[in-house]
Amino acid sequence: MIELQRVSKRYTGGQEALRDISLQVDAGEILFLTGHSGAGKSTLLRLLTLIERSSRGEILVGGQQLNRIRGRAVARYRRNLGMVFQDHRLLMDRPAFDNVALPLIIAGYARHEVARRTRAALDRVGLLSKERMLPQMLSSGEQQRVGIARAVVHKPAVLLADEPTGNLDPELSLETMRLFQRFNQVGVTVLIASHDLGLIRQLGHRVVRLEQGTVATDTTRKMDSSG
Amino acid sequence: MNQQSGQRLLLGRRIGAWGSLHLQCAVSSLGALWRTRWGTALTAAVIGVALALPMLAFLVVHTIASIGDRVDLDAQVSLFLRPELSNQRAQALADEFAARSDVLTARVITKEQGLAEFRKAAGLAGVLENLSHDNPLPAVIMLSVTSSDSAHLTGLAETMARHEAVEFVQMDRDWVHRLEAFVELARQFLWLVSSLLGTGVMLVIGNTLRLSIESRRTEIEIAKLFGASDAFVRRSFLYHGVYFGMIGAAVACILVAGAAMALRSPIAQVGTLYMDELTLAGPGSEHFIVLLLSGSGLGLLGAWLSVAHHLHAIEPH
Repeated sequence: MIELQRVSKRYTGGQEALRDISLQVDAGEILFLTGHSGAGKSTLLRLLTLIERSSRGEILVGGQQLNRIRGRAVARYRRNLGMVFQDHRLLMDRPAFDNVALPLIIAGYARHEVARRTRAALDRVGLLSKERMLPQMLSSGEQQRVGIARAVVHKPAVLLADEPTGNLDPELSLETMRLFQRFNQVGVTVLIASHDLGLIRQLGHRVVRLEQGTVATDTTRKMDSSG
Repeated sequence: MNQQSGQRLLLGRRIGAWGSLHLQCAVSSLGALWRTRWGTALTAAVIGVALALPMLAFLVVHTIASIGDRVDLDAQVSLFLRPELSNQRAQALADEFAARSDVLTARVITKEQGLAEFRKAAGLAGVLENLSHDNPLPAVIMLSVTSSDSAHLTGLAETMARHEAVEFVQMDRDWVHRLEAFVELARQFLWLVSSLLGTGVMLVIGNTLRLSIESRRTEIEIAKLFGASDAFVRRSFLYHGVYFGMIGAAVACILVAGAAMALRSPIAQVGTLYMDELTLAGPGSEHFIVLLLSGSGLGLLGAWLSVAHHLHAIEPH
């Protein structure tokens, strides 16, 4: 589903965030990206969302070469992604419902369809009763769940999350990760950047650890070589 | 289901979705304006004044121009005869002049007709009553001329002035010409002022939207992250621009209607000077439509310029 072929990213300042990375994530897989801050996790996600472009190498998502996606095609490509951010990035002056409905409105769904799917997504994260509330009336965990509902409401093929549990206590963090697992079970490819190592080990999925812009360890490879 | 009807259904659904997207955007933009209603009202007031001024000036100029239009524009020369000449003599002279090749017709206004007209027009019936048995007015011969060329007219007037029976020659076109020149100047000035004020409206709307874009930067970034195209983001701001223009135009309609009422009596007074009933040429529904169309048009244009310039710079980071 996601394939990086010898990808490097050098920022204009000369700082090299990713060095010659190759990585493959299969469809329906759930993958954790870990590493210290500055190891390249965020850069990798930014390349996948086309916020940044790679300096070298090829990235394929769902068979599409990202380097070839330009102009209007960028928006079309992003509509197939779901994104969750550490700082939630909600529209603070709009109720939860409007926030979750955004990707559907952008995709041009009819009004009743938007309402139906939005409520279904809010229900899945347990916030149906709070659809009229503004984000600041919600707890941090609830805000994050609004963000997650928004990321999956349009049934994207790929879900990308950047430090989704960064501001949450351990219990809420586990709950959030379980949510991601549930989406993964219905076939969504999930890529989560997180430095919450303890939590990640507990879940028992594939973990790729980045270090100074390269892959330091990859649990599948380790298993492959040892088994 | 055959393929063709299937395609038609798909196209229909697409148009439907596009329409509902616009409707949604139109409604949500209206909601956004309502949330900032005081700012909206202020902007609309500025736009309203800027649109009302040229429209009012247009109405006034148009009204004044109509004075000239109502006067018979065939080249005319009025010959005021010596008062002691009789109506019969005047008629004989008129026949003589009518025979000239450069004169089309020669019509006599007798002393009595002149007095009656003067009475009716000036509303001085009471004062003139005493004069009825001793009419001081001369007979007048109105010449309409074959050529409206002004050199020719002046030549004729000079010839006529030398005639012993003629006391005074007046070319009726003189004041019409002066009025026309004045109206033409006013029209040119009006165009200039209108384009300046129109540009002003565009800039006001553009600037308001620039601020609005700036304050909604996060929202735009988030929308773009979730795959909003430039057109999608642009659309809501374009609706904003049109709404600003339309609300401003509505304010302008009210201002113009109010000012027209206030101007009614001074305009009527100008009318009496030209011995004519004069009313302001509007505002009618066509003027309101012009205001609304130009308001929304300028709004759209201003929004487009502003959005094209500022929206592009906002990309998610």
